[in-house]
Amino acid sequence: MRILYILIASLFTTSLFSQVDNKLANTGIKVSYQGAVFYPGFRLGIERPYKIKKKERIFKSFTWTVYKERYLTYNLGTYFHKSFHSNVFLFSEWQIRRQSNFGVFYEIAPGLGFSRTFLPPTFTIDDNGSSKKVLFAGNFYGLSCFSATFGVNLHSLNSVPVKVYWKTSVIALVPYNSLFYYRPTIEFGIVYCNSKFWQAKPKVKHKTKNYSPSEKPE
Amino acid sequence: MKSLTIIILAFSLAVLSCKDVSLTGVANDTIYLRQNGVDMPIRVFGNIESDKMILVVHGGPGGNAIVYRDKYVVKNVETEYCMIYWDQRYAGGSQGYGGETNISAFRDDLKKVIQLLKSKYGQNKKIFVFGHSWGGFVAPYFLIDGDNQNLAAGWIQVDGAHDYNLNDSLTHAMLIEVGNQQIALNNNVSSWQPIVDYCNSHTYNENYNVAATLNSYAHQAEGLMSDVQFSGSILPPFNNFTPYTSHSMNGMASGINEIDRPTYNENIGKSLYKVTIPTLLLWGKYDFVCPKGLMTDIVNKIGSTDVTTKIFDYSGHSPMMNEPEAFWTEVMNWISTH
Repeated sequence: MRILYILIASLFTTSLFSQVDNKLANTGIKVSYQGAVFYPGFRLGIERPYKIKKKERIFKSFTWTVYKERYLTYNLGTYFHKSFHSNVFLFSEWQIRRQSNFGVFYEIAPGLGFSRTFLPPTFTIDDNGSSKKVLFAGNFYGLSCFSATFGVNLHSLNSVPVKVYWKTSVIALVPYNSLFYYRPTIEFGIVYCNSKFWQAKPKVKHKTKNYSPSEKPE
Repeated sequence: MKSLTIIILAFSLAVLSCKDVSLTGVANDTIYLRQNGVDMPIRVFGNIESDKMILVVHGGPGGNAIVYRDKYVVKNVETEYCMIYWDQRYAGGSQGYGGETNISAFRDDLKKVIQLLKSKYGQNKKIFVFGHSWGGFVAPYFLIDGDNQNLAAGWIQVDGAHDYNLNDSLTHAMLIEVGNQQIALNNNVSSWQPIVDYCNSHTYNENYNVAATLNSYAHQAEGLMSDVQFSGSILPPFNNFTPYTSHSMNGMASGINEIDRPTYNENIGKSLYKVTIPTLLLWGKYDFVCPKGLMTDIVNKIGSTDVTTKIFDYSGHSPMMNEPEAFWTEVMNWISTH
């Protein structure tokens, strides 16, 4: 009976693993609204898994599976703050994600990149007091960011290869008046995964712990 | 390739043909001045057709100008005159990589701001330089230099710090005098006693840190005076001009760079005789930060024969926030005659 139980459990988890693995291993295309309360913006990006660690805990009546995933992302973002500046930025993030077998995930992601701001009409004044407009005035800054995300991988629940997420980030521009400028943002987005697009080959590790009663130490 | 060229040309034309400033009616403009590696916002609000502009040179260093745009100003002052809110370098919404921190850079910036305003809005505009607190150092520092005062129609000095050494000595003396009076009256003794003790154990010119502590105690002392009014209804309306994070980081950068430290070596007082333009001096009676003795010093040394003074009896360091109606009525009446 005990052997039968382990066999059933392993059959169940293996089928889930193979099913979710395919869903995890894909490169995703991210699209999101990004804003700082009243100031709108958006982000486009790609997330690409490079490492997935699957941890299984087999209990008597169920199996709990957690996926520890690592991604690299490549993003283009922007926000518009009319009388302050608009900003376009390119950056890459290192995503550290944990996902349950129900598809619920949370992650943190530090990132680095650079940005170019665009200012409202900007002028210089020469020694004679004459003004000259600066075309496309703005500045290049280094960009670092840190974010925390909560989301759901709908692919784990049905056949739609989509993840939805809510993300809070802090973006910092450096050097900004000899220090830095930081900007909190919120983001709502979706990730569309297509197995045919830039196929990812993450390194997959699998670890199982059995907590079924008979296997417990005396 | 041909269509790409057309698109680029059309886009450039659209950018170039955009109207940058309002020349009639009520202005609601934001332009930036690029100067020595810094981009400084200049916000222009109000009645442009009055041909009179009040240019706010804000406090700090590291403060911001838009905080002066409270509900009272929007409703009563901007309908009559044009208000100019300029964020100085290392302050408010200023952007860029930092640039020069020397006080002479602030003086040069102010000159360029006025030149830019005249260039964009018309040479006929009368610009009144309104300096408050630290801005009350920058304004006269600008006016005594070369022929700069020809660019201004008048000088409005509000609780300004034109002489840092004198300022510290007056603050030190006022904290001891008023502190002892308040202790004798049994008013806020636990708050006043440490202030008085500190002042008694330090001379005002000991070092920069003592000066900074005196400044901090001066702000604290104002809050202990029950006569000082504050009307919450005049708080600035929500604005979307500059993020709070920019204000705070620029304020921090300003502090780290100790921008006002060199002011102790500048004796503006001895050059005030050069200032001959109409001058309005406005002070709060309970200003411990820049005590009213500074106003007396200006009156004694200024070259202008057109000098008006006013003390606000229920105000501290910022009478425009303590008694907005009395304050702005005084300013507007004075401007209407100049």
